[in-house]
Amino acid sequence: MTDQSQPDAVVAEEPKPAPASGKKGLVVALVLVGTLALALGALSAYLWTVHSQYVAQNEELRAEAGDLGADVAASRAKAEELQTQVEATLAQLDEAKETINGLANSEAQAGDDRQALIDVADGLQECADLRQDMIDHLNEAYKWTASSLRAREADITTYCKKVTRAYKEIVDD
Amino acid sequence: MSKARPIAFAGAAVVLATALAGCGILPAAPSPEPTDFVPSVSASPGEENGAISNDGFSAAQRMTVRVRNIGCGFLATGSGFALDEHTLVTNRHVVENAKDIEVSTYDGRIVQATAASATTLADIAIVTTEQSLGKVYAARATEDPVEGDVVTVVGYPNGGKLTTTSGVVLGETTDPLEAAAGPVLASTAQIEPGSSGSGVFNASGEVVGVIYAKNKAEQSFIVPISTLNALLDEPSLLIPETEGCKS
Repeated sequence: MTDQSQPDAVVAEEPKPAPASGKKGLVVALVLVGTLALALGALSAYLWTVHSQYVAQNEELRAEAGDLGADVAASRAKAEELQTQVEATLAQLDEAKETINGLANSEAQAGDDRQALIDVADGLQECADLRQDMIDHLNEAYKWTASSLRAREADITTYCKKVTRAYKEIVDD
Repeated sequence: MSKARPIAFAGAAVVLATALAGCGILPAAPSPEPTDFVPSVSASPGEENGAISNDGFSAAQRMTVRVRNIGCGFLATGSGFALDEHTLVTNRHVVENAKDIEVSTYDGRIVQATAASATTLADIAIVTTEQSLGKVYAARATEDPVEGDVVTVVGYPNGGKLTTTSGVVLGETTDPLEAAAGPVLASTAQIEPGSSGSGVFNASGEVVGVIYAKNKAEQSFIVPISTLNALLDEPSLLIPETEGCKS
């Protein structure tokens, strides 16, 4: 009879240590919290830096804006002053222009008058020459007929009256 | 390796990725401040259209001259305008039978004419001078004005002060004096004896004609710029004027 061998005694496995799920969770949580803390720290540092830069630049820009505002106010005041001066200068320029125009006109009229007087002087000289010529003719009246002498005298008188009239017109103007 | 580490790393990665993605909405650092807040000036006030000349006279006024015709026993005056430093345009009838011609500039300078030439095709004469007429000359238009155009006439009516007057072109007509070969223009610009030879200017300040006559209806007549341009392009059409006083 075969002895049925007795099965070996079942060796009971060593009980595995219970899964340390609590521990793992803690590790994960710690890593996450650490990472989050680092990220938040970096973010805070960045925001602080940017904030500081904006604050600094804002102050500089406010100062610059204040300076520029003062410049604008001064420039506006200067512009208003200059505008007043320009208006006054334009008025003076108009007056000066009118004066120049008036003086140029006076000069031109004086030139016209001078030329007219020269013409009258030439006419009076001619008149004097003609009268001298008439006297010469009268001194030798026997050479001429009385009618021709009278006609000659009438022509000279007409001419001289015309010149005299021109002279009076100039003087009366 | 335990499973906790990958989970932790994955979690950290997710956090970092989220944080990095969030950077997109974070404010950027301020851009550098500009060094100059004042814009550069684009134009000088002196270059603008409304800029005034140094003496208050317009270019049209400065190029306009008064012409004195000293004849034998007569004196006549007219107007004209400078073509260049020593040449001016006026009417033929202004310089006819002249013993001597004197020109007065807008600022009162007297300039002696050296020669005059005229044409029978239109009431136009060209006078040259020895001394300078000034530094402002006429810019001649290339086309005649048309009906309705506003024109300005600058001259010395009645031999008096330099005067500027405006009018409207009424259109082309035949020469009322029946002396011009081509058509002339009529306008409403008021002129007087002494205005003859005045330049007629368009809105751009270009010369578009030369005043030469008026009628009883107070219409003025203009030699169109096309006629003047044609004469200046063909100098042989201009014949030297002979001295008057042939007694």
